Order: sequence, then structure tokens, then C-alpha cells
Amino acid sequence: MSDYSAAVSESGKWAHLWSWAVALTIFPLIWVGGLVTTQDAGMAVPDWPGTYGYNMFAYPVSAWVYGPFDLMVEHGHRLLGSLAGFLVICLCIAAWIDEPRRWVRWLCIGLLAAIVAQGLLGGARVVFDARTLAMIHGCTGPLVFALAAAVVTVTSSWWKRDDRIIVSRGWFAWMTVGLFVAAIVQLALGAQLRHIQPWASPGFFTSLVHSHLTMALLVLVMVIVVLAVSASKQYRYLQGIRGLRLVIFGLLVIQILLGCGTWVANYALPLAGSTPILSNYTIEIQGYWESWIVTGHQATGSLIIVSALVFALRVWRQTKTA
Amino acid sequence: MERELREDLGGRSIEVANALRFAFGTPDQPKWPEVLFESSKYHPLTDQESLVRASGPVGRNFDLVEVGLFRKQCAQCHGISGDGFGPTAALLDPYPRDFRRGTFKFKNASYGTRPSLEDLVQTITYGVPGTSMPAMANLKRSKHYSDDIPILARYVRFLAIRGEVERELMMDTIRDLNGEELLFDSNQQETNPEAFKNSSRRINEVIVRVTDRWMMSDGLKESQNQSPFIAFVAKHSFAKSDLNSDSKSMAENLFQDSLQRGRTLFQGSIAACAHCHGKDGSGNPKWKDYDEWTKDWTIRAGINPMVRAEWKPLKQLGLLKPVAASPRNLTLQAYRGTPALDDPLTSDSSIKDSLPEKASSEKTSFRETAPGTKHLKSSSRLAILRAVLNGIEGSPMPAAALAAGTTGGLTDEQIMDLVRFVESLSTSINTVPVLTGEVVSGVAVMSGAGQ
Repeated sequence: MSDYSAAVSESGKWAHLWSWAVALTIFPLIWVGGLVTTQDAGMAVPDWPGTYGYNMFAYPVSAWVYGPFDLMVEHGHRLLGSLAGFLVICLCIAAWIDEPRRWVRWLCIGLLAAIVAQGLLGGARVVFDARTLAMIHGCTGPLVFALAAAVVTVTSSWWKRDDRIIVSRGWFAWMTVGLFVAAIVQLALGAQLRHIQPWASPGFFTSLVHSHLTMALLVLVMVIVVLAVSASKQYRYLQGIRGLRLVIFGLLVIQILLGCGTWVANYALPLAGSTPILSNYTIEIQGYWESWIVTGHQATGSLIIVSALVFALRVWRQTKTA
Repeated sequence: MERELREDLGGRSIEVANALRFAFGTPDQPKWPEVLFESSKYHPLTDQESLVRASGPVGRNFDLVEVGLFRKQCAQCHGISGDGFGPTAALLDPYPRDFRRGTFKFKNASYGTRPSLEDLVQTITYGVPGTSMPAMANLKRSKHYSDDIPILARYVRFLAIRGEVERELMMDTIRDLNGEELLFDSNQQETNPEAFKNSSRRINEVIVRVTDRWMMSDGLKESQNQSPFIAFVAKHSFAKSDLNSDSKSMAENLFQDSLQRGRTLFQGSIAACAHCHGKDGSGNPKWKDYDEWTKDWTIRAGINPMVRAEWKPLKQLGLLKPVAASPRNLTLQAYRGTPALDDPLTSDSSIKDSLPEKASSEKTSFRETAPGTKHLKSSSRLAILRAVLNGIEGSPMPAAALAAGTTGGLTDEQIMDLVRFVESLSTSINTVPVLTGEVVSGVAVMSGAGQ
């Protein structure tokens, strides 16, 4: 082991810890952001960066907690976003002090830039009352989450080890990247569905739904292929992906169920005229379970993106072009 | 669809759009037409605050007041102007309601009249089971959203009035397609005040005519009492009971006879229920008809909705595929638009005041108070009774002809027999075998029922 490798291996632990803190904050942030969309609460606070004329951090807790639910969710999303931004600053400081790899330090700075941009985008959504910006904000949020997960991965001790077997890269590694990209496209389609403008035509919405379903099928096939190949003789010795295989498969199953549930929560059960239970089922607007299911579908989508990215990074770490 | 229509009408429909904008404002800034402020009788209707709260983009203003309620809760399906053409429309079954006809299925008001505000509140509060229309009872229970439902109901009424005016002006325009007189031109206000005055008067006449139709149904006891359903509920305690209670309170032979007579009526040619619902109540698969909204652009326009080649070109213009209105499967105990009895979440005084004795209820949960649940045992009976007596407007379900003033109409006792039999189709209390043989003749039905 060279001196540099030893230094890399021994340092950067603080950056890794902070990166975990960031990732663990961004996931609930995404969840609450999804709830903002579910509750159509994007404009529940009409000003930005302030909250009803107050400094965001000085808005009375009682008015926030005991106020209307949409206000609580939107203001909570802002506070959680601020916390995530603060933690990324801490991560950058830790990386700058403790992390010897320059590209990792710049990756952390990139994460800071991304989270600031994401915050500004959210603010612009409010200032311009633009649903399209809300949709873009909803698409880029999981990308910021993925970037945070990438920082967690590359600052981990597993990544820094250099005693592993390197195998030929081949199409499989590219397939893992393809899965990551497909998951992003799928999430973007879902975001369009959730932020559809009320004056959009039924034909446009229908084509979006069909695209979302087709893409779901494509992602399902890609996951099956990637997981099957990763378990093949050639790649079964790759480290750090065995558990991830299970995670991705589990998330996909949950996501499909949540997708079906989202349809039911929004648009009713299929075959409504077939049994008494189906015929008597009534959707409850902003119901407890309905909100969990719909928001959970969006949040699980971001988890699939992140899992696919971490999977791809780990595969690429252990492969090289022949 | 609207774009194509405009081209066909040679741009005259733009005049209609301009007239509507002048009279009713825009979706972001709607207003009641000025002519309605000239008479105090319209004051209960012309509530500007509801328009402000329901219209425009979703959000809250600096006073914490929530606005854009219609776009938040309704426009995705019903469309921003209530034309039933929202983004999700093509994927829903049944399609979202187009308010512009002024036709609403679920109401206590009689067939041919407009629904009361409370009818609309009831549908919004409890939704429509088995469809994509959600229940919004949740809003009612939260202090921050408790007034949202009445506001939405008032805005639905506003959109329906605006839509009916739009339809009537459009029909005028079509009739006068080649005429030289402009329907409306706001520029004339300065260039030709006399012509502007004339066109405004013409439009105002339509507005008042349409609004008067709505005033007839809204909170006016005399018109409510004309509803056969309301009159029946006021007259008989039957509406407060249910089949189970009847089976215990009535003598066994009388109860069985009632069910038997109900079955005969159901399958006979006077009530003719079996014609659509099938002899066993599960629906006649051979029966096919369409609702009034679909007939508007198919049958009445000379297009056969059952012939794909005829409607397909219109679908390419954006219209939705015509879907047949299926008769209710009465064996499922699922009745849409059930009128609630002494409901804590809505306040249909027209029913409550008519009932001989109010049922006590302190339920606050939607799931507990929803129609069809054990807490409102008579709600299924009320739904059947209302459908039989008032019909379901817009659907092929007609209102029953009643004995008073009609030839061959049903008596009150026959209505009770029929309702009991329909109830029995979905409960274990049914002790009358459902025959699937030949339909009994109408004469036999009437003579049998009179025994």
C-alpha cells in the first residue's frame, strides 16, 4: 500500500459520517416534498425566502404546528431543506480538512451547489407561482439525493480499499448505468403526472400514463436482467452488491404495489361493478392512507434511483475495460 | 374539440367566449354577471367570496385564506371550466361530470329541476362509491378546511350556470350562423353603444333565464316539496325503516306478499325495471343505452355511438369514446348518491324537516357516517326510493309514473313493495325466489298489486 493509499484509507471518516447525515436528512426531505405535492401545498406559504413576512426560522412554532396542514407541510419542507443545506456545509468543511482526494472534496462542493440550486428552484416555484418549476424541483430532488448517496459511497472504507479483484467491465456495467438513467426517466414521468396542469388535454395525460406504465415495464425488465447477470458466474464475486440486489428487488416490488395503490387512491378501484366491496369503495380525498401511499410511491422512486446508482458505482469500482 | 368547433362556426363562437368573459369573468377572476345584482332575489346566489376562494391558482394569501380550491380538488377531472374535460377524463369510468348541461344525477329535487346547494354538498362530501369521485368529508372535519365544501358547491353552481349560458348562446349562434348581427363585441361599447346595449340585453335575458332555473331549486321549500321523493318521505315513515325492520314489524304473510308484489312489479311491464336491470337485478347484458352527455354529441348529432366508424373521427378531434351507461347491479347493495338521514356532516334540512322523527346521530367519522353503513340503515332504502321516485337525471333511469294524476301510475303502496323487493335483492332477507321466466303482463301486475 502506497503512502497516498494509506492516507486515503485512514482519513476522510468525518466526511463519511457527515455524508451519511446529509443523505439521511435528504430522504425525509424528499418524502415531505412529495407530501407537499400530494397536498397541493406548494403555495401554502405565499412568500419566499420568508414565511408570511417572518424570517423563515423565526416563524412562530405554534402557527406552524397548529396551522393548516398544507402550511405545516410546506414550512416543514423549507426548514428540513435548510437543515440539509447546513449539513452539507458541515460535510464540505469536514472534507476540506480531512479528505485527501481532491475530486471527492470537489464532489462535496458539487453537492453543496446542487442543494443550493435545489433550494433556489423551490423558492422560484413560489415567487413565480409556477407549477412547471415545481415539477422540475420534484425531478431534481432525487438527483441531489443520488449525489449525496454517491458521496456516501465514495467516502466509505469499502470504496477506499484496493485489495479487491477487478473483472472485465463489459455491457453489464453499462446496463447498471442504464438502469439508473431509466429510473430517473421514470421518476420524471411520474413527476409530470403529479404536476399536470388543469388545462392539459386528456390525450396528453393519457399518453403520460401509458409512458409511465411502459417505462415501469422497462425498469422491471432491466432490474431482472441486471440482478440476474450480477448473480452469474462472471460477476458473483463482486463485493458489496449481494445485499443491494435484494434491496433493489424489494424496492421494485414495493414500488409496483404502491403504483397500483396510487391509482386506486386517486382514481378508484378497477372492476368497480363486480363485487359489493369494490362497488361501495369511495376514495377519500387527502385521506391518511391515501396520502401515505401516493407520497410513498414518489419517495420509493427516489430510493430506487439511489440504489441503482450505488449499485452501478460499486460495479464500476470493481470492473475495468478489458 | 372547442377549437374545431370554433373553426366550423367560422369564428362566431369567439363572440360567445367574449360574451362569457364579459359577463362571468375568467377562471382566474370570475364574477357574477352584473344583471344578477339588479334584483335582490339573486343575492343569496351571487356570493363573490366563494368565487374568490374557489377560483384561480391553488395557494394561500397573506391572510392565510386558502384560494384555488376548485383547481386543488376538482379541475384535474372536471376541467377548469367544469366541462368534464380535465386531464384525467379519458381514463375514468364513468367520465367526470360536465356541469354545462345543468344536469346532475344525485339530488332530492325532482326530475328536470336543478339540484339544490345541499344536493351538491352531499355529493361532494360523500363522493360517489365505485367511481373516481372522492369523498371530501375529511375537509369538513378540519377547522381549517371546514367551509371548503360549501364553497366548492357554490362554485360548481356558478360554473353550471355559466356553462348553461354558454350552451344557450352557442345554440343561438348556430341558429344564426350566417346572420350579420354580432352576438357580442366589447368594442361596440364605445363605437356603437346602441348595438352593444342590444346584444347585452340579449345575453342578459339568457343569463336571467338560466339563473331562474337554478333559483327554483335552491332552498325554496315550495319547489322542494314538489319533489315526489320529498313528498313521499314526508308522508310515510317507510323511508326511516329498512327491510330488516320491516321483516320484524310486519306480519310474516304481509311481508312476503309485499315482496311478491314488488317482484311482480319489478319484472312486469308497468315499472319495467327488469328491462334494464335484468330479472334478477344484476343487469341486463343485452340492454345498451347512453347518458344524456354522450347523447348530446352522438345520437342528437346523428352519430350512432355503437358504430365505431361513426364516432372515431370525432375521437381524433379530442372527444371521448362513447361509453354505454350500465344499469346498476342491484344485487351488490351499492347505490350511488345516497341521501343521508340526519347527517352530522351535511345538513339537508329538506329531508330532515320532513321526517316524522329525527334519528339521533353523533357520528363524526366519514367511514362511520357514509351512506350504506350500519349507522345509517335506511340510507340504502332512501337511495332506492329516491331513484324510483325522482329518477336519475341524465342517465336512462326514469322517474316512476305515480298514480296521482297519471294513467297506470304506481300507488304509494306499490312503491313500497317495489323498494322492499329491490332491497331484498342484496340481502339475506330475500325469501322470494327470483324468477327468470316470462315477464308478467302489465295488467296482471296491476290487478295483483291491488289485492
